[in-house]
Amino acid sequence: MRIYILMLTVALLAASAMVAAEPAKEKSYEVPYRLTLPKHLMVRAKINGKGPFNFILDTGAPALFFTEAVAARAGVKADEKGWGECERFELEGGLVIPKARGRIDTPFQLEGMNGMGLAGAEIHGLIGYNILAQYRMTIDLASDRMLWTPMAWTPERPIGFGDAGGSAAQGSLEFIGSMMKGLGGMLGRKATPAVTGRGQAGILLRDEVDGPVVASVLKGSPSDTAGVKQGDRLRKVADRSVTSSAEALDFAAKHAAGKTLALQVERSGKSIDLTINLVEGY
Amino acid sequence: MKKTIIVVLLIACLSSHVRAEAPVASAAVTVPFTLLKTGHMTVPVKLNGKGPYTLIFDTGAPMSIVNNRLARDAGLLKDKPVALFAPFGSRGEVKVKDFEVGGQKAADVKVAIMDHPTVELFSKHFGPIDGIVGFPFFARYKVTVDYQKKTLTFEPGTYNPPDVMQAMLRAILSPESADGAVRVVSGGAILGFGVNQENRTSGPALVVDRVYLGGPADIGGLKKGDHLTLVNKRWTDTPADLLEALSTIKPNGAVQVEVERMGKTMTLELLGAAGL
Repeated sequence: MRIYILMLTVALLAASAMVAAEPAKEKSYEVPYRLTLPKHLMVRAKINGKGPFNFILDTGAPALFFTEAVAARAGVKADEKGWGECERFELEGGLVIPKARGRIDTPFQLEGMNGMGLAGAEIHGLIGYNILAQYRMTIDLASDRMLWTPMAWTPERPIGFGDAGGSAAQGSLEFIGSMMKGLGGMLGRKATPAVTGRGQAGILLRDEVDGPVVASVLKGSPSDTAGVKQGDRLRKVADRSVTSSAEALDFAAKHAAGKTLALQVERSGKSIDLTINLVEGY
Repeated sequence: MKKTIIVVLLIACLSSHVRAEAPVASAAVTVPFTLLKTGHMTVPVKLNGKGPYTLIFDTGAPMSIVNNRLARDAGLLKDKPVALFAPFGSRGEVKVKDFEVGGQKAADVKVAIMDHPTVELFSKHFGPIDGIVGFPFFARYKVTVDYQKKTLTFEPGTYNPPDVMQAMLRAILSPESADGAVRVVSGGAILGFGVNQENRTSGPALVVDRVYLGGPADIGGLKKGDHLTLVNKRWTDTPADLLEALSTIKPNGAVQVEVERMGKTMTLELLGAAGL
């Protein structure tokens, strides 16, 4: 039953809301994005130098939306109709959108996704028609960047169903947001999960016919301290046999900084077990 | 126990659809769209040769949706029993063998059948609109959206979209997603440097506090004290930002790094190395 509700609510995460527009100059910009867990195209933006905030690129949204909390942090004031103009709305990749007008509101899709932690990151808003129409956009999922070209024209202003705009125009779907918040609570989800990096050992590897070999040990790194030597043949990582550097990395991938990593190397025909104290590093 | 039930239901829901994707080779197709007064766009869609139907094109939709009217008309309801719990007329997902958006054809595209209230609302105002074209279709293409010309161009791409529902449920049910769990991000190569987070008046900033001699970062010219501003064009204000920006690096892959050093902005190119 719950899975059914889940499927349904996921299916419903596709709707809409209402509104204004502005023109721009010629030049293309690469805009980095990433995919959220439910495969939304997520871009980051700084508003008036604050942020970055996470936005979903949504041709199904009539306008830019961002939450009250974002507006407060970025110092964007809402007019009597609930709209605010951003002095500076900068997308990651360097594209600055002039006079971006957005509706300060929390569409139910955001409540739902954030409540369940569905996106894998907190979503702060949607970028919809009033902004998107000013650009020609090329999206290729095989690349981690989109291409945005400002167009020299003034798109038509969209109109809403009635003058209500925002969530009032979504056709009685508002309850889904709170329903998914409820589900999220049951499953114990958070909007922003804690993130850490794979710990660094400080070994460079090269692949030879019979497996990975230590090409060099970075001086002063944990592997140096633990006694790994250049030329050591890497046999095991985290107690699993390895046949390539890619496999070695794979087996080490979930070992965070501060943890230890067990390595087994072969040196002059002898097998040696070493324990590396992983550090934060890139 | 609850999780076991979810998993069993999930398998029951999804396993019947598992089949190999048949690649469809075709050229770029430009499809004119209709811009509704609300700023939404609609496109003509044929399903298994039936139609055309009018659907909303939505980059923010993780799934494609069709209503019961269309599903019945296009013969998608065969073998679909009516569930006891079917709000919004939901009938689950089906795989459409031939999914065509204005002349661009894709094979075996999943759609969910339901009477989405927002779609119904649009239909009431703008004439028959029977669903939403979302990620499972457009992700297969290099898509260009041109609001000025009112066209969508679909050029066959190399990305093979995963099953969104499956991916989400897997993510929700994985131990990593439990409360208090920490996600470990791992790039595919090593650069050999470390950073320290500083709080500046402008906000958080990452400052390089360690560069291993002879490592890839050292060879690429990174120095201790450099303020990292961009990695592969992504902002790097926090360690989490840096991890995400470096999560896609590969051995021998170039990493573009912008730093501020003594008040000057410079761009360096580092080369990732295989290693741990």
